[in-house]
Amino acid sequence: MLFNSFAFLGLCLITLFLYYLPLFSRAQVKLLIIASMLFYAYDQPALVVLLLLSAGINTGVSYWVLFGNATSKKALATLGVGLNLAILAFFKYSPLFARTFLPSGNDIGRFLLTIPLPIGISFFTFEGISLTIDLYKNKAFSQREGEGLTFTKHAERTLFFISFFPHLVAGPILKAHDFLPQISRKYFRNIEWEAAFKCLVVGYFLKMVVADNLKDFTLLLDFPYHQYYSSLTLLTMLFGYSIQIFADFAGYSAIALGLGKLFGYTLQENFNFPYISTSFKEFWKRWHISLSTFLLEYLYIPLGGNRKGRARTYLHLILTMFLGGLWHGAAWSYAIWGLCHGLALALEKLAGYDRPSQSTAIQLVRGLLVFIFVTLAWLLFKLPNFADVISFVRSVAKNSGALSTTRINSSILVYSLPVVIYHLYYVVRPRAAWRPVVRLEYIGYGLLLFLILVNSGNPGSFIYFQF
Amino acid sequence: MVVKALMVMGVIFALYAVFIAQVKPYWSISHHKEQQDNQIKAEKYLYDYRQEHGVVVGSSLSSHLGNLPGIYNLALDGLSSLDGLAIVMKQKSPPRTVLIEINFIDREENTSFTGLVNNPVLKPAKRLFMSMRADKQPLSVVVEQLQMTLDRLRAPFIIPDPAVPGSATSAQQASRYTELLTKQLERYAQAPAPGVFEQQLGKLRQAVSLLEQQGARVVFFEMPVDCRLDDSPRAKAVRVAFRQYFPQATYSYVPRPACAAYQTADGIHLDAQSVTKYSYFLQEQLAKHKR
Repeated sequence: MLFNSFAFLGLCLITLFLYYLPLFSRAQVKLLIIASMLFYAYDQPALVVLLLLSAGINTGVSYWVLFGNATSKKALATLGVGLNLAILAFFKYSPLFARTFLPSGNDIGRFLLTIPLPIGISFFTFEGISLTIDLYKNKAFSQREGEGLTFTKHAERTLFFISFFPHLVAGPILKAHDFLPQISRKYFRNIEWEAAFKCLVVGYFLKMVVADNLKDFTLLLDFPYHQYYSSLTLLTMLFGYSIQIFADFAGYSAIALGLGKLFGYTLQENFNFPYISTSFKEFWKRWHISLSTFLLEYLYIPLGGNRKGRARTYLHLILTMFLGGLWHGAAWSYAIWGLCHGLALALEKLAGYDRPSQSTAIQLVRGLLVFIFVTLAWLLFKLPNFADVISFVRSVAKNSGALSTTRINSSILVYSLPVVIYHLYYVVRPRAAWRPVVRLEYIGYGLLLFLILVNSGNPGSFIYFQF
Repeated sequence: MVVKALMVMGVIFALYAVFIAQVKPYWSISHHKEQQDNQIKAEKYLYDYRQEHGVVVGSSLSSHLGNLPGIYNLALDGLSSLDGLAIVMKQKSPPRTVLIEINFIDREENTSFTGLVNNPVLKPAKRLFMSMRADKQPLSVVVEQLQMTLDRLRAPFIIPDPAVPGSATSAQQASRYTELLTKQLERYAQAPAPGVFEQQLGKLRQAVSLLEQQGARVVFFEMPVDCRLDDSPRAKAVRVAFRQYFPQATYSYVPRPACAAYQTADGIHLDAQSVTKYSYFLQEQLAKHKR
């Protein structure tokens, strides 16, 4: 179910109404679980079973980790992580395995290629891993909270943590130690209306006005269309895709945050104006924050982080980003994308460019270089087939496009402008001279709402749904 | 803050709605944006056109047909006749004549598009507020202005390229045509997948019988394509299936003109001259059918 559909609006309003009714005050969590199941089942009803299975495994393992024999806790936690990874590997990477390692026509290969990719699996399996590890490390809740916990209660909380619909299919990836302590009775009077409103308006604007309009132009990056356009248009389209993917995913995340706030939950910020970054290190602190912090906490640090010498630090960085890239999709292009970012991070650290410079000019140049690199790397996202990437690069080099394209270029520039302004406003907002403008922010939000109403593009699914 | 923002939105929307309703600006927006072009076409049919007249439904092959008096062209780029019919069928008064293109009937209905056009909330809102329609999007107007400015700036630097026979441009165009035609030949080398095709024909039969019950006259036509595709397995299979589902003795068909008389831009889409020529041909044939 798409956040920008009327079906979702209906589900959300009904759930919100019932949620705060005194009659359901003791069943708030159960109500949200039911709503989340309906949300997930809307497109793929059969795969709800998998979601329940994943939640069931995580409930069992994490409960034993909490209350089981002290000597077997580590083994159980390892088993929990392993089972989550096995589910992810089977459903997400089987087709890649078949394409890479098995001969075409092989029966097992043919079977593996038919395995459906359950929507949101990358997100809910990572949340399962977080639950197991956090409980193993006693990070998810206090000793006192843990003592009164029955298996049924734990199962309910786990299912809610994994399936809460605002984050279920495309994040932010929740961490058990952030979310579980928030589970309690919520009151209508405590809703942070203004914060929720801002998140929802910005989120829907980014998705419906920016991303959904840009997608109709950036689809021309695909093979064979890109062969018919000039280098300038192709590069403009790639710039447009860079803006689109931000607007699409940051928009989704902002909507998720806003929805969470309506139900009394604070989800982790997922984007913090990433395109103003002046280093790759900063970029990854601002882009898909819930994934980068997950990889940092549950992969980079356990690997040894920067505690095992410089060479190992670079290796850990590259490996973490390589696996992070592969997490995105079952194609080698995603892994290469991650590898590129890992190498950029390592080289940047090696050269000492990961710290901000005192000179504004140098900062600007670095910011531009980071943006150009990040934008070029998105090509591997847009065209997961390497042959298409090569064809695109050839088309840029050939500059043989014959089609008139001022319309495409103008459209991309106009629909990208809000994202550019959004980032620039973030930079100037804290300055004293901008205080009067900040006081009039409500006019800006009114304008965004107006544009959502009259200028939305044709609704498309969120890019990150495929991951 | 929330209330103030909502009020601002209300004021801007009201001002914009009054402006659009009073000035009724004609903004020739879109192009290069298939879905938006389709949406504009569908909305013009739903809100501006007298629907009891005739309608053409089809794919991009027939989407540029013109000069058909009393007939609205609802052929949609990238979609098929079934998408157009899904819009037509939702209307209270059926059209008198429905022209159905048969070429790409095997394409499945794009329910996200037809769902959007037929949305029970948006449809009445767009009927009421012209300002909410796709061709009145304010940012598209900004795009239009920017494009015109860029074109003006570019104009002095463009060297006219007449593409005379024998020139480099002409050779380039010929090579591109061959490339595009080769792709179409690959596509036309196989008949449509039987399962989906039969399902689509079943849906079409249902829609046609409903239209006929409501008094509409249904006429099938096949858009001419390059002669090398005209005799392909795909084109033949489509014709055979149509004759099976809609026998010529019972249903009206526009006769197929000689493909050699028409030129295409890429093997399947007629060029501007041929589109006009075929539109006149269709007009003549419809007049004969009336008699």
